[in-house]
Amino acid sequence: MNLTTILFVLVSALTLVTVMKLLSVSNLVNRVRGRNPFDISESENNMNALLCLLFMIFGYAIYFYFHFEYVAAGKLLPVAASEHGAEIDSLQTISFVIISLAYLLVQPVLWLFAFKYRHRKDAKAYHYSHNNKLELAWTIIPSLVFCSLIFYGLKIWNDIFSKEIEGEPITIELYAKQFEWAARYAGADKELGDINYTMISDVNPLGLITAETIDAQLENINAKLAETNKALESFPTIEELAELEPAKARLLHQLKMISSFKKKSENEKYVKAYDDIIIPSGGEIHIPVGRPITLKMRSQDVIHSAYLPHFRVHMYCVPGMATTFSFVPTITTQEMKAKLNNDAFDYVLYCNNICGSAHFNMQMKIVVETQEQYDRWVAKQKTFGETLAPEVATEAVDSTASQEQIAKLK
Amino acid sequence: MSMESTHNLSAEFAHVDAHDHHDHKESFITKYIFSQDHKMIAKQYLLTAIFMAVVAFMLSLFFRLQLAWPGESFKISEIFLGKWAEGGLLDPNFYLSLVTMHGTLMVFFVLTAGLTGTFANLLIPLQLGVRDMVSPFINMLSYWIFFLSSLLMIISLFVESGPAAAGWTIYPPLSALPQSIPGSGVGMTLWLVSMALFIISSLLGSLNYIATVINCRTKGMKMTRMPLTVWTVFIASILGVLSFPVLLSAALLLFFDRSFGTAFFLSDIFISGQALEQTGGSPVLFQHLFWFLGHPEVYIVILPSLGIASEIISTMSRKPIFGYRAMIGSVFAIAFLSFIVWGHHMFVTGMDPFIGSIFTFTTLLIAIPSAIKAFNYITTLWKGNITFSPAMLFAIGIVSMFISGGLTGIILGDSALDINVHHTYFVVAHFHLVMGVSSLFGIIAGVYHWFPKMFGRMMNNKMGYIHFWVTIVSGYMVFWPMHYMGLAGVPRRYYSNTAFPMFDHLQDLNVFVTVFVIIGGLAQIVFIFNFFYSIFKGPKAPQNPWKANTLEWTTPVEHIHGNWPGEIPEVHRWPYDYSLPGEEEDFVPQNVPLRDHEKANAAEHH
Repeated sequence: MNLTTILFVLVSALTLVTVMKLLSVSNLVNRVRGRNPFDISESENNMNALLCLLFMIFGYAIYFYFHFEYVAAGKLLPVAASEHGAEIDSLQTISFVIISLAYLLVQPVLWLFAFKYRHRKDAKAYHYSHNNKLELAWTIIPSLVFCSLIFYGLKIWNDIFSKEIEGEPITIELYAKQFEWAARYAGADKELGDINYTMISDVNPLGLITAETIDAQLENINAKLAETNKALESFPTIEELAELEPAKARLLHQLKMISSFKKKSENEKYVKAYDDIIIPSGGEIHIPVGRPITLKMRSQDVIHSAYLPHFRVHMYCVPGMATTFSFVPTITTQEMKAKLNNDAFDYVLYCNNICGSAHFNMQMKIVVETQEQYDRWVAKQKTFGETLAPEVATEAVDSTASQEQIAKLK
Repeated sequence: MSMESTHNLSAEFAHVDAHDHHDHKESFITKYIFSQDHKMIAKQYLLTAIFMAVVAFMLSLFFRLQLAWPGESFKISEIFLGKWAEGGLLDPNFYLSLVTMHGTLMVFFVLTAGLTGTFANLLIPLQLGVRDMVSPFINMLSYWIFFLSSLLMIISLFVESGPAAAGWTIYPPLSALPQSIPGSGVGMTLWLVSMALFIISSLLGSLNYIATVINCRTKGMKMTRMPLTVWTVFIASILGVLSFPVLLSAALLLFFDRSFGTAFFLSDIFISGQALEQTGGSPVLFQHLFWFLGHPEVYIVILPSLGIASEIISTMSRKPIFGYRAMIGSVFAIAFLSFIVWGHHMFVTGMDPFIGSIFTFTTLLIAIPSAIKAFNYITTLWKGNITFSPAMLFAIGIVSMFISGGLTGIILGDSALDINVHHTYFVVAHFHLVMGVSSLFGIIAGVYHWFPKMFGRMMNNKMGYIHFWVTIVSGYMVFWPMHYMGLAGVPRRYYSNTAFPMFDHLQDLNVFVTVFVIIGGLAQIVFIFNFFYSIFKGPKAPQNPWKANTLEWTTPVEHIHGNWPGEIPEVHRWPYDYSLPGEEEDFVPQNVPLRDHEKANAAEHH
């Protein structure tokens, strides 16, 4: 124990004793004056009434302080950078006007009544138990307000998820795992290649299925299985056994799955993955302004959530389930930088569902640019086929070259 | 049948009182520990809840320090958290444990058990004129199972791999796989076992409350003459009985997934270099099950608090509660709707957008009965003659918080708007105001108001005033700024915001919030001191200190088993005859027979 601790304990103890003494003295004084120590005196009551009045002002003060300091000062999210986002923003503005009005009108009445109708000696309260008309009024008025908000909101909601977006969408997969994002573009064939979680390996982190990855993974898993078997035969401890047994079962399950892909690949070829473009973690997602973007979310391990607040886009990434969100970006990164007068501004995607220790730092940069800039960027990216092996790449490019040229001409 | 049995029971008790009272000596153990007396059980719930609240608050203090000053070293964190804050620096995994356990303890152990456990137990028999609960033994069992559950939850704070860390909503797969976070090991197992016990305790308690309210009311105590406190704990108990078993099934299935390799909530997972065998399960299914309890749960904690507010506001304004029947009607409406709104927690989980629109509709409907309640409280104050006891101030505080927090629900309940504020600090601000602070105020208001009934002594008013004003100002200062952080896109459950330059300019808000957390926390020390000091040294309470109408104030100050020494009083009127014209006093207790002119009026109406 150091000196500060001792001092702290001493001071606390002394304070406690003083407070207790003061209390018994004040009880005694009250008793001498012939009052109950718990009676609430007129002055105490008036003081609390006055504090109620002050609190009413406090209610206004915090509203306006934060409104001017944060909302009006533009410290919150900037204008929506997507088509549906603008709709959401206008609904949000209307809703905030309504709830702000309700707050600014109702809250003061509560505190004002508390102040105004404070206890007076000769006064008697007004016995007023109900008034059906009044109660009907404050049932119907909020009902009307809420119903109109509901229908406006539902129209926007249904537009976001059901309306056909005009124009040809770019499909991008957002792939989440603890604690990083990867992205995959559908490529020239505009279709994402087949995937399966049992196909995931160091060289194939997204688990894409092609003839080559199947063979590589079979080899990989068989090697792991052999290793596990060897460990099992070399007299493992109970703790090791507790890990090795389930590991082996998992590998066998994995092997079964991969073999089924192998069998399937004899009839229909897994070719859609060759032209996919993978953006590994640490990379950037580029999207062209004004083109519909369809995000398809996927997770490798636990639930994550893809939150792109500037576009008003948000969707969970759920293992074993495909989720999707479509939007049209309307403002390029450059334009937004100019608009906010902030050169450091960047659009960003981050995780918004608790996913583990580094949940707070799971992000990816998004760049919105013009169609030409985007096309140039796409041309520079390597397809999955190209990363596999040079000969596969040429094969894949040959089959899709014409389509690519069409895409570029647009 | 009910009336008859009540009378038999009363007669029996009266008989016991008359003849055996002096021979009946209770031992320390049967009186204070394994007590079957509802008044003692209420106190046991209250004390346990206060302890849990202190722990839950301390947990929040550590993560608030981290959020305000990320990367700073805090000696206090190291002293309390040991290896989880080596060098005073909080471990990111333990940060998540802190928020998880703060939420779990507050929602279940403080606001559910502390509020209903205390006040349903205390007030149902006393306000309805009953000797004790239908089954005092089951009532005792309910408390001790709750105690066991609390003990396990506290023990889980000390396990090697840390307590549960997947958020209080424990969404799998994070909560199912220890590979994903250390807290999902033993800590999570203890969490699940503790919650299973908690649910059993809650069911035993609730069934007892419901049976007592339905069967045992004293003569003349019609349902429409019950005080709103009883109405709200009654409805909250029904909600609990219908929804808690669903959480039990979710917990059980999660337990299977964790321990026996089933795949209810798991599918296609590759983690720690291994592809798991489970396929076909759905993590979203768990969320449906969880929120099927989770949303009614919100009303399980807020309704009793509103009931307490009704009682206190009416008594201290010396006015009948405005729109008694509308109040009951809106409690019913809220209770019914609370079962069909759970999906609003899941708008962006990948749930079918069409179902999302149904949930938006039902959710915003719930705002209507809530609005009715708020307006009725305000009208009750109108032309009143208000005495500001600390309980009254907290009751007004409940209404204020309920309004402020309820309004932002209109943003969150709207699926289109929820997209961008889901899981941000806006949500944290919303539910802390509307259910956190206002239910906590419910407990506190109830303690100040019924302290004389519980302990036969009065609490100190001056300390009560300091407690209230500091607490409500801190409450607003802590949660108000969080709305703006949410609107700026700051997600909840982030260990720190330093990885995002776009949040740099909001860091001073985090400091602001933490400072008020500390100030608010200090004010609670005043309360706890006042509470324990007054139990022993407070001035002796008169029989009816607030000049209230309800039956509990007709019982003697000194507690006796069976509550009333003689016959149970008969009820002749509703509980809100304050400032009745033509009466000398400004209150007419429920057991006062109708005056002649009132009888004539009643006859006229029939």
